[in-house]
Amino acid sequence: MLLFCFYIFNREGVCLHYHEWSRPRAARNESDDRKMMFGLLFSLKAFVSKADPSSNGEEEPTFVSYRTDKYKLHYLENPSGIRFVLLSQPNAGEMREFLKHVYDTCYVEHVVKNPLYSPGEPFKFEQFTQALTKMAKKTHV
Amino acid sequence: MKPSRGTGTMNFAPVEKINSELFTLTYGSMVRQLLVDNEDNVEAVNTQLEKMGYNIGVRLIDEFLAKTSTTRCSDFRETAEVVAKVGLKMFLGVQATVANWNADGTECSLILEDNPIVDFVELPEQYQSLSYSSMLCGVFRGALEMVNMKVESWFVQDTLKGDEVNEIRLRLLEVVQDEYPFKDDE
Repeated sequence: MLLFCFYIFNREGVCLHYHEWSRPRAARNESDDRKMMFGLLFSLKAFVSKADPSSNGEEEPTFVSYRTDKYKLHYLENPSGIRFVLLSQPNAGEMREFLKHVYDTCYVEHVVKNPLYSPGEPFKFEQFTQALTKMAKKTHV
Repeated sequence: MKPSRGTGTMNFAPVEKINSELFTLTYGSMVRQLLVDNEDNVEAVNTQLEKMGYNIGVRLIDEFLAKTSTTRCSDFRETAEVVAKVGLKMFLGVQATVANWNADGTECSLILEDNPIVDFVELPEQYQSLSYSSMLCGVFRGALEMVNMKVESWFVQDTLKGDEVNEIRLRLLEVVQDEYPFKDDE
């Protein structure tokens, strides 16, 4: 099962990290692509919350994923405002666990704990990328 | 998810630990160095400690969220409970009790009977106004700011200054809403 690409955004819309496994249709303009992605997710989150028909409305529904016939987008957001976005093939199953693992083992271990990293800035750490690719390989044979 | 009494302990157990004496002594020598660097300007050192705590808090929140999988707290009361019972237990190994709520529910005290940072510490005469553990206050401020809560925190009682327990006051200033950061026409 193929993974296309992976974004990490923070609360301010800064794309902290972008990783690509395979992206046959590349984005025309990188910074536009990131802004568009963030804007979409921001609006989707608001929409999902407003359009929720179920129950009491006490707990906000969380946007999990959307699927088209060409790709599936998975989303995970933490209370600290860090958002993980993963684009995979449409036949992918639930990837939230995977995203949570990426947060736990790759992001927290190699990025947050890195003393040379200032929170809120884009990063490109060898260790993080290695851990990410290793985890991706492990989960998708 | 309401954290149960055991959650803090559960999260504390598998976490990599260092010797608490090493931690206490490192913190102590750092404060000492700050005093030297700032030529004994106690106010400046207090500010520095709080700022360092803020930087720590900003990163610590992610580790906390990762290890405990806590979901968003519904109000400040819940937040204070989680901080006192789970957070402090997980990172300092001690639990605090939450008390002295004000009428609005926007201010409370965290009572820490035992503060591991101040083991073996005695404040000499000329440093009586030093807020030795103000790094903790900074950590609360930094961590809670990352989850959209602007808080103020300070020490009301400090065992280093002769009080019975350590009491940290936590005041919620505002809850920040997520805003779209880009201009609409871009």
